[in-house]
Amino acid sequence: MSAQTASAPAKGDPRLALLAEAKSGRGSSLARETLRRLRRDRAALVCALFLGALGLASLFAPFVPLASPQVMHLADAPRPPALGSSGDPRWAHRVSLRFRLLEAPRSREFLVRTEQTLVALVRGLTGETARVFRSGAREETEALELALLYRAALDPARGADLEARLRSELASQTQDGKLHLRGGGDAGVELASVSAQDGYGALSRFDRWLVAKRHAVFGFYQLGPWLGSDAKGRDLLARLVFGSRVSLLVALCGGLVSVLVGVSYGAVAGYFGGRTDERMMRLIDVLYSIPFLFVVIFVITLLGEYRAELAELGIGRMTAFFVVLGLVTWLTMARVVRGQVLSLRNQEFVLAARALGASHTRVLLSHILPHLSGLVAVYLTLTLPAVMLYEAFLSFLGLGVEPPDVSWGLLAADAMDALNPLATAWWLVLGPALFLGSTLLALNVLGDGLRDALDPRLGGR
Amino acid sequence: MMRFLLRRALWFVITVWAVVTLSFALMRGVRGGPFSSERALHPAVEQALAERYHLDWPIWKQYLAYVGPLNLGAHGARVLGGDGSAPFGGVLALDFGPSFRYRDFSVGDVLSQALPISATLGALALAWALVVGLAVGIVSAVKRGSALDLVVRVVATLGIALPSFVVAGLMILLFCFALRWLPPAGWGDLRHLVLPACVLGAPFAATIARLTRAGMLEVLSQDYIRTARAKGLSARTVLLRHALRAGVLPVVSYLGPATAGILTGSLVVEKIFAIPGVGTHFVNSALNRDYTLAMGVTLCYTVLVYALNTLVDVVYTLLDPRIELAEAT
Repeated sequence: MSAQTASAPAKGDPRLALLAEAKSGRGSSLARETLRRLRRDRAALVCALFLGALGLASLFAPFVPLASPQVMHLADAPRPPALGSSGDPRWAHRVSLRFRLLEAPRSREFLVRTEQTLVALVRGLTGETARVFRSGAREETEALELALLYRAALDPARGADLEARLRSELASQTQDGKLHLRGGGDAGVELASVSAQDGYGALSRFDRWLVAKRHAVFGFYQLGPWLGSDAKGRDLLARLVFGSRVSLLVALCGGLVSVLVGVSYGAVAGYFGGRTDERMMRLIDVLYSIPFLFVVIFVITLLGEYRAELAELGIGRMTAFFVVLGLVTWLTMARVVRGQVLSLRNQEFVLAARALGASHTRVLLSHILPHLSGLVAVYLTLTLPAVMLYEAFLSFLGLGVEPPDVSWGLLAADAMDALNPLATAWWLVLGPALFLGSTLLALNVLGDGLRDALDPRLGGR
Repeated sequence: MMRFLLRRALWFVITVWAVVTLSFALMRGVRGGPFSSERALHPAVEQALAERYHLDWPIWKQYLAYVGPLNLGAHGARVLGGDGSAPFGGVLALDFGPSFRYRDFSVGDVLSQALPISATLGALALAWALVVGLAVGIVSAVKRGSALDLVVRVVATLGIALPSFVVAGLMILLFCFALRWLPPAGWGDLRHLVLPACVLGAPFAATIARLTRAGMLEVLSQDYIRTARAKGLSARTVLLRHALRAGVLPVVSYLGPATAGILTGSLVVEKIFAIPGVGTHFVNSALNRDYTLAMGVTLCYTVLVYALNTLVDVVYTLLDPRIELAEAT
């Protein structure tokens, strides 16, 4: 636009139009071009969105109003899937105060009044409105359970003195063994037990915060058993979502290790070339011929012997797991990177950098490495499913993730154990298959799409 | 050709030596390993171990005895002062020592029982992967762009993405419990083999179909195919005699990794279908910390994969005269 106001060339000069076009056109980087092409690949786009959603669900799993992934309901396990929701009276993440009614309530209204009195009493102590569940035969309530949302401050196991305070409060309103009811009358009520159930197990501080947010937003609401429950009566959907944390984390960290090792190895081999390159690549050829799952299993078994020492160094079983899986999946990455670096190192900008006095390290890190990012992104998306598959394989064989942690491989293994011709719990097989299959599929399709977008000449293969 | 094979052999020896040495170091060094005193072993096993590994010898001599192929003990070769009744021993003589858990069994015994089972399963899986993969790939390439082609591509992508235990679970549900055609597990007659071989071969069939399709598509657009057609050859001859030979080259080079993959995959498949093959023994040995057995299996499979890879490379040059072996190492 500013070109048109410039004075020198006359109007109608074709060069002017050219100049204007050049000014208005934005430069297009490789990354932007790739993204533009990727956006046209609808399958890859859908997969990317799916993976994004899965990642979010997994990161914010404690916020999602799922049933507890740990609390068991052995009575009716395994339960088939049922659509439905909310208000499951067996809500797991709670503090429950059980009261026994010493005599059957005289009327329904009388029972309600008893409940209201108790709720008010509990509210006075904790500041929260409890939810009441009746137990006993119909019309003959024998006990009441007042449920509060779980808070560490109320958990007797964490040193809360709720029970003692409740007893003394109850005693102060009781005369001759009868509790004064609001709105008149009295009833024989006795505190039976105070128990807390933390349905999540060990959580980090961030996750605890998410749980608090979940309570603030959803209260007692929770999703029903959409995917059924497993052989021990634990909600399968919840286990799958919480399992995705482990599965995705292993994949990401393993992929990262694989990128670190593969890129540095490949870059060094390609950059220095000649004899160094030949030797390094020969080593890769040799490593390629080793059946890796066997080696991984062997190494993980060995690491098991040193668990205590590793734990002292701050290396948990999971960390060791990431590293080992990363270490066996870097070969392809190294080969591809080496090929690319081999062609990059003879380009003029490398020569220019060298002539200006840049060291080899500097050339590699700040001139060659940025050119590899696209390629690495493509192979990372293809390495992730490989690592995930390894993790699932190992967990499936009982050598990977250990309970109480869950991962998709572990869930698939549980399903196989539960498989028998008498009572076919088909949903147990289907659930992990759905999650694992769709994630791996999405990663593969996205990787292929990314590769095509980055190098359109390869398209359609 | 000779030079290539020799060079391969040299690298092979180096690989095996490295693995064996590493295994020796691990077995000697690792706590909870074979020689640590904290483990409560059965006295018979302990005695067999002490005898087999000559724990009273200096370490270099132990290492030599472990690697082999000569037996350095009392029954060893005459040259080394033995009585010559058992001249060979050690890993290089395929003697992997006694198993830790299976009393009265050496690793060799376990392997010789389990290997034929795994080999049958693996060969069957590879055969079906090849037959189905090639056929589907060729058809899909010829009918490019059709609905059939699309279906093949989607199924192939699924087959590659889904892990074998997921496929196995779905297939067991379908064929064993819903339709009741096949037994869900066990080992015995041919019916026991169908499902495991299918599951084991599925991802490889998918990959082979993909590779064949891509290879054929590229070849079919070449000039010499047009020439062959112009000469008036039938579509079948052009396809099978002219196009296929070049079109399957990617598949041939994939056979090496495929074999390794099938060996690896059999770990899971054997466990699912309760097949007493090498994979089952290996997983059990890892869970039981039966190091000698685990090591024996790893070494055995390394050798197998290496040999098969070499074979594949040789076949590759026979099929494609443009490739020279010396460069293809």
